[in-house]
Amino acid sequence: MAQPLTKDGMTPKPRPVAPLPPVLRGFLWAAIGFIVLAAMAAWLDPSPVSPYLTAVGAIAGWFGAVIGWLLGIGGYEHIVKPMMGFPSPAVRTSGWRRYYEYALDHKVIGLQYLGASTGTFFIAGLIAMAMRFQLMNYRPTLFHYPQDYLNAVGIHGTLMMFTVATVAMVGGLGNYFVPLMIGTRETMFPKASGLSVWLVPLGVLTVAMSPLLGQWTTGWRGYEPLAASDGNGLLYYYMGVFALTTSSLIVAINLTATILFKRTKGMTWNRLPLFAWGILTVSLLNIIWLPEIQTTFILGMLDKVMPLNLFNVFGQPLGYEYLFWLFGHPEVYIVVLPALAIWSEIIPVMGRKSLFARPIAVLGLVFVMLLSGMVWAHHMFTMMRYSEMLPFSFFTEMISIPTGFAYLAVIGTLWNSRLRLTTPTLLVLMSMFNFLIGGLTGLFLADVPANLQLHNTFFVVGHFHYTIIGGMVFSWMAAMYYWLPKFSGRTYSEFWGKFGAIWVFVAFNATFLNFFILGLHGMNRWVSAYPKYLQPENFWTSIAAFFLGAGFAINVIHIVWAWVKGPKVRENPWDAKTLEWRTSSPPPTKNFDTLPVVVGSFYTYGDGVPDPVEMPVAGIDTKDSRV
Amino acid sequence: MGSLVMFGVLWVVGSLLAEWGATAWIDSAPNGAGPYFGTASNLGIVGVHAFDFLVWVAVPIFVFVVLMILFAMVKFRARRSEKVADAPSQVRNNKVFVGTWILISILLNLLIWLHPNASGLEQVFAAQLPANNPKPVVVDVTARQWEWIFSYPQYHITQSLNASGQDTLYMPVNRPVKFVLRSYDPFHSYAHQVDVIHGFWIPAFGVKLDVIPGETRILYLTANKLISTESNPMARVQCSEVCGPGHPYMEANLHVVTGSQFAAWAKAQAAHG
Amino acid sequence: MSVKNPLPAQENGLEIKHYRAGFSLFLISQGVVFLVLIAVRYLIAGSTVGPYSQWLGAAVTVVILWSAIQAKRANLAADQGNHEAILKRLHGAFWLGVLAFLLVVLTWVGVRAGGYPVKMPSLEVFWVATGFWLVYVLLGLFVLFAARSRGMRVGYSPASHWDLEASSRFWSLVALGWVALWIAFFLI
Repeated sequence: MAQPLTKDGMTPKPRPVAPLPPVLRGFLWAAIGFIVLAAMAAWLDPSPVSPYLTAVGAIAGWFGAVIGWLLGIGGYEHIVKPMMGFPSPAVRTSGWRRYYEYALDHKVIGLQYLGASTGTFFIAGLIAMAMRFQLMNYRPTLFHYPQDYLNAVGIHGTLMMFTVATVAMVGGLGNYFVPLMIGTRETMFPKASGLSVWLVPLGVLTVAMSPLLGQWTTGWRGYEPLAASDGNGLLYYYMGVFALTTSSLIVAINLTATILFKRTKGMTWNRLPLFAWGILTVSLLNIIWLPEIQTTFILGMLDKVMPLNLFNVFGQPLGYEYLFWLFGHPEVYIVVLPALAIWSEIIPVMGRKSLFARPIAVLGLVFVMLLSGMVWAHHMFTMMRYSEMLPFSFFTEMISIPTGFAYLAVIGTLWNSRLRLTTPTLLVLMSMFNFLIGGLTGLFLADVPANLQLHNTFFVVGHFHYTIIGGMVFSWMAAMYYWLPKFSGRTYSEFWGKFGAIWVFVAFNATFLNFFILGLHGMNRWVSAYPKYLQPENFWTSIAAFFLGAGFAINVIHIVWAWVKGPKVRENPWDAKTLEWRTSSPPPTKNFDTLPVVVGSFYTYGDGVPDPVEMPVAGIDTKDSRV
Repeated sequence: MGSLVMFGVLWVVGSLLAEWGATAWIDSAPNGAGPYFGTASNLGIVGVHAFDFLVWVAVPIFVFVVLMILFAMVKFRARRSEKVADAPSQVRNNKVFVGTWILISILLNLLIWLHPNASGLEQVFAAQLPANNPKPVVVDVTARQWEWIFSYPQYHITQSLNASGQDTLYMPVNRPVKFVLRSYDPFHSYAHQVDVIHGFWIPAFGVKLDVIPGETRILYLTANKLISTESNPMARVQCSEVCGPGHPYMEANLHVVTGSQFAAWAKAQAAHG
Repeated sequence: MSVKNPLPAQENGLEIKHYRAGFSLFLISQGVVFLVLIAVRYLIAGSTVGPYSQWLGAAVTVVILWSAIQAKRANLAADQGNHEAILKRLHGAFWLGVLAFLLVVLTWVGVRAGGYPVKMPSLEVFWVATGFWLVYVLLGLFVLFAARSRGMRVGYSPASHWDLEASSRFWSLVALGWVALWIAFFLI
């Protein structure tokens, strides 16, 4: 389908010459939208204390700003007007400006997501550095009041979860690579996808600026009943996360439909790349759980702003926690499934060995997805009835079985391989090490009697940083180094790559192993001030954390340098077999001149194994998926 | 085959060494509390047994994977000089290995669910039966933003305070204490917005229970050691669930004393009011 | 009105099947929203039915179902290429939707006029759930409006009317969402 954008059969209008760059126009329209709706709300529901901006007005204005921003960034010409029957204008397909505009190319959109994620990783990372600086001393230094610190904790967690952990590998790498890996030229819903990415900067800005409306102390959960007595900034936490999750929801629907219907000829389910399987399982989780949490956040927002009694002492004080964790635990698998999939993607290529027990690896991803909705209440062991403890600890422990399948596949592949110890390999192995510690400490937390001591201590904080940084961020870095030649046609320096990887690995473990000890030693979560006996350990933890922050900076600088100035490299430097390497680097706008046809497995190596891909002769268009 | 034997030997030796180290760590304090686990109560003992058992279970798994990673990096590594070529062995499945892996992971998970989890919970539940806690000292614990208030209805103490007017929890050693936990603000009972979730945690006791507004929760505990906040900073009452700006400061002193000391203290407190 | 340069029918058919399936992923995800609202209704208020008008609730159900049927029939008319019928049905669906919206608002007014406390648990969940639904109605009305305006400007052909079909499917979800809420809030 070469011209999908003209399904109404009309030739696209030439790209209009905008009087303002779309981003600026988006800001302007957002400001207008905010002022109009906030003013309307202030007029309809005046507040005696604040004539211009009320809590209700801030919400209404925010929705006005979202509409203005999305229309201004390109939604008006590209979506709203075509819906009414006006012709769609063309989009920019070359030059750096296309990254700052509405785009339809999944690769541009993927890079927009990646850029937004990386930028947010830095904002939220700097907040983490500030938190660690505070914790070097047992009494307030940097954050004068506990609410300053608690608000920083909340913003750090929210941005890291909803903009980095769930976005970088799905919205970013998923959008970029899934269509390439399954052999298609475009995603199923490129128009919605082009708009969804612009919700990310908006959501990040909303969350990061929320303390201006009043500080909130709930951490990343935004939980009622505490929310009721918190500042109005919490409203913008709900709204910001609403925008971010909407973005992820659109990605999920788009990529699921793409994987279902856009696979090239011969791309059967048995041949589907592992990374596509990872994205598919994650997307199914997203499709179910993101609307659930969005509804919960809107309920939380209404509960606070009206105010209602849904989730306080007159309603169900634990109701919000139930609804939150019902999403909250699938969320961590949303984070980690693409990472587990990446391991099975990189190791066979680097070890020149067939992927071991591929069906088991796929089943592992699927079963983690299925079980993830049944374990959530282990976040509430200290709150729940005794009768609920045994079933939830059972499912929690059982989910380690399918998670272990990812290890089974990688270990089987490593055995007797001919492993090229490149930076991506090293990072995958490090990720396996870190995620192992994350998983094993999970055994302790899943055990209810031990959990009653470890719950809400730094032991838990250490545990989930091991799973998320150790599992997801390390794998994300591995994927970035692995696919760097694909993005840019250039490669990185093996010395600096390994240097950066080892630096981050050492600093990461030096930081977060201490968290377990701190937690056992009586350090609880969400505190800017703590008993003095914990100060020496915290001091050294902070020092290690600063090294960790510097390590991430080193890697980002190196990747950016390699992207722009690195040595040129041939098109398939790893001799990988998957389809994304069957086109030039960086790939052309339409990905493939002729769509490749899959005739074998991408993960089978060995002498005499035929090429799994046939490239049809140019001129005979094979169209798209007809499996 | 050579690799397999070598790996097996290294794994067994490594696991044994690591188990030995872990045991030394666990036993470096009485009651297996080497890893700083609070064991000064009956529930803490249950918790630490679970913790220590899980350390022993986790060690061989940890050694297995780490050894495998190292093995891959050293033994299966492609020399930089050699040309990129496919690995000589291309085993894509091994039913024995996969079957054993799945079987062991299922059995191991069932094991740790049954013991220490279910067996430990059985002890926890038993410890919460009123019949197993004869003649308890009743302590009404009220959690408010941001203070722990302890009152002893049997001793006519409405709010137990120390000399500097701070809330203090006194407990007799080796005698059951019945904590009745509520979350509300007795001084501002009209303001329901400030009724939030708190976490009643005494790190030295190795146990915590959340305090939910609108609910009354009961926790039976028996302290088994004479400790106080002054002698051991883990012996303190600490809020473990974030409850607003004052959360870091929501702590109270704890004194576990002998029966006669407790009686004397209660008499003096009651006289104060 | 004729469509300029329509796509080959068979090609279009296969594509449409995929779009339809992809779109139903979106509809499923929005179905989750109604599930959560119903769960919260029972979590907060048990099965208490609040003091809102049963008559108005039933009226909304009738009107919105009728409206959804009109939208569906507009789609059927597009299958047959009956341009006038498309516009007429969409027109009907749109104004019936507006009527349903107003009836829900009337229910609210009725409860307030009855002098019941705003924060009764059964009313709180009612405000929240019907408020959610009204937002969906607004979105659906916009979509119907867009479908109609596209119909007037470009027209639909039997082979190419995905926009119309998507609108009518979304509107059916809104109607089914109400039916689910109606059963949970008014009946049991």
